[in-house]
Amino acid sequence: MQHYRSELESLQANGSAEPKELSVLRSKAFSRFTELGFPTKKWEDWQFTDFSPFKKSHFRLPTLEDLQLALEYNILPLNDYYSIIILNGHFQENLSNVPSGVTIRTLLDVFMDDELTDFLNAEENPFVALNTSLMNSGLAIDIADDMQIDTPIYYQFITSGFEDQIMNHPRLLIRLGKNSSANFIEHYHSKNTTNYWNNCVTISELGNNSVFNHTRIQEDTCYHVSNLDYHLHKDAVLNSTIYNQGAELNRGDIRVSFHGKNATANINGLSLLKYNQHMDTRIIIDHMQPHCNSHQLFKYILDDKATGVFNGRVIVREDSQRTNSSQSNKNLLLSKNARMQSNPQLEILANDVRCTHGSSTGQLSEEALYYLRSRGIETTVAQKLMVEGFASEILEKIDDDITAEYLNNKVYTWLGNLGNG
Amino acid sequence: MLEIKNLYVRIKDKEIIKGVDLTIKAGELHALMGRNGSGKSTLAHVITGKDGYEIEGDILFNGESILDKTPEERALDGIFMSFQYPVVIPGVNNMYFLKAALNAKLKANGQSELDAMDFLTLIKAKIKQVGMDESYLSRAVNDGFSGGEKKRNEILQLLTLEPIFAILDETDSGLDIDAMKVIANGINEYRNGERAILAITHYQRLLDYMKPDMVHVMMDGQIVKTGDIELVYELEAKGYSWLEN
Repeated sequence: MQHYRSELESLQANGSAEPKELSVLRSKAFSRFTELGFPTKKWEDWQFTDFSPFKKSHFRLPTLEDLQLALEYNILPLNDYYSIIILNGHFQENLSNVPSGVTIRTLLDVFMDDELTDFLNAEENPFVALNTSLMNSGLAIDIADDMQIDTPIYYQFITSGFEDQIMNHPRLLIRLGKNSSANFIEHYHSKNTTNYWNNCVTISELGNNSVFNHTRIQEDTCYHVSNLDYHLHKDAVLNSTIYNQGAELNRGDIRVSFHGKNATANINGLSLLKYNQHMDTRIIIDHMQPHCNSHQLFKYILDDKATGVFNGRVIVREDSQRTNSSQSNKNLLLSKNARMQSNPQLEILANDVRCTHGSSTGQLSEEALYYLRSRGIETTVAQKLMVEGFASEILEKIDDDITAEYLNNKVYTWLGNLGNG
Repeated sequence: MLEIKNLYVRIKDKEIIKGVDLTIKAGELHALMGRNGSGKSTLAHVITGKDGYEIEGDILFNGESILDKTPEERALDGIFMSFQYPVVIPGVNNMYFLKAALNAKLKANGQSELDAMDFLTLIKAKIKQVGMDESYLSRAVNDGFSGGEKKRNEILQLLTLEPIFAILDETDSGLDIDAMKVIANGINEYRNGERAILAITHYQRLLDYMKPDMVHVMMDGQIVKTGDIELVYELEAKGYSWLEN
């Protein structure tokens, strides 16, 4: 804890440009973080993950000098999409472009917008508290009312060139105005950096009758913690696809809250794990309003000694009649040593609702494998076909073909050495 | 082409096939009939190389024992089975699957693989022959197909892969009369003097269309009677019980 405190103190000392109120907020959040501490095995919703690396490691925040380290990084544009780039924790305004009707503001501006950084003492997630106290590279992206932005906005958070232990606490706030629609791709990746931690908070607010297509691609290789918070207002539609690959330790919290009637949230996830990688997802869908729909499909593919956790809860509050909700978690084990812990839960307090949930974990079907082989397709190719097929159910839900193709290729490459183990 | 020699097959200590000898020559069509559970499908799966059997005796394909070969090696040698229960493979595109299978064969034969365009031209011609809608190509393999569509999809694979030996395991079951005609035409299209077929069936109708060279009856793991098409009519009239000891 002590070294996180010293990081905070040096941030507060150096940040002479930061308003005093921000410093107060940081301290307030930090004291909540120290009250909570890092999760232990005794914490119910955290018990299957070992968070001790965060206690043991001495991560530091990147400085402005660290920007130089990333100059060699070849930033690939995804098609000719609008682009927002954060390089080693620093927003690169000169490399970013967004359409008119979209405003980007940095942390300092954001702070003045009090509702966004209003930190509650009731915060129970220590990683959110730590993110608030140490947040760097914060951005607020506002999409005006009545905007139809078809070309995706491609946000990249890039970590590159570090030799020591580095951490970032990115804060992303996306607000979609009423009757607007947008495609947003949020992508974390890295190069030439082995020991780092990104602790992300992304808050999305969907205005009345808005449509938000959100694809989150997580390719950080070391430690990744994320907190995705979606707030849906009346008639809003969220289509979210969350792709995870490569992290040694990955904890993702997702929370969806319905603040108005007749809103729909479709949330799909695909996680690919191998070696000793570990991924822990907790999702809470809070039906606080009637006539809303939520549909979740989360898939894990686990190889080697990888371990996965899926912990999902759908809450339907007393007055939330006519809720329609489904939750499904399907997992594929490619190795005898891989493990999956799945726990979908329903908490229904209303009586006129339609809710389903289910979970399955298994290996590739021997029957299907034999069928493919009996057609002359060799075992490893047949296995790959089947795993790709398993993944495709998620990836085909992505509206943007180029993003879907990018991820299809990722899956294909990931499967490269399948069958050797 | 295919020689089965004194074959005994066990699954977990249960003897399913108890001494079968069968020789099928190029150009021939053999029908294999018999009650459910008599060992017909097991015999088919043992020929194609499914795991989980304890086998004694030998199976030769073009003079070479195939018992140590994997299912894919046997397929590339030219053995094919139309499954009694075609397997659903979620998420795997039917056309992609067919192309992978055909290209595996072409590659094994040292021929150049087909690209997507050439394959599309080929498969569109083949799919007409089995009376299937082209939309089935873009769906997942057998996923949501009706019983009849699954069987057509098997024959589509037969016509696309052009094996030299085909086992048809109850390909006629669950088909209406029109579908049966289409399937029979597809099979007759496939037949020539260099290819052979082993058709497992319960019904006379398919055999009326296909004119088998030999008819075998299997009972309790053994071939108890062999004859020509007349045997089929006799079975149709009398059932199987007269063949019991």
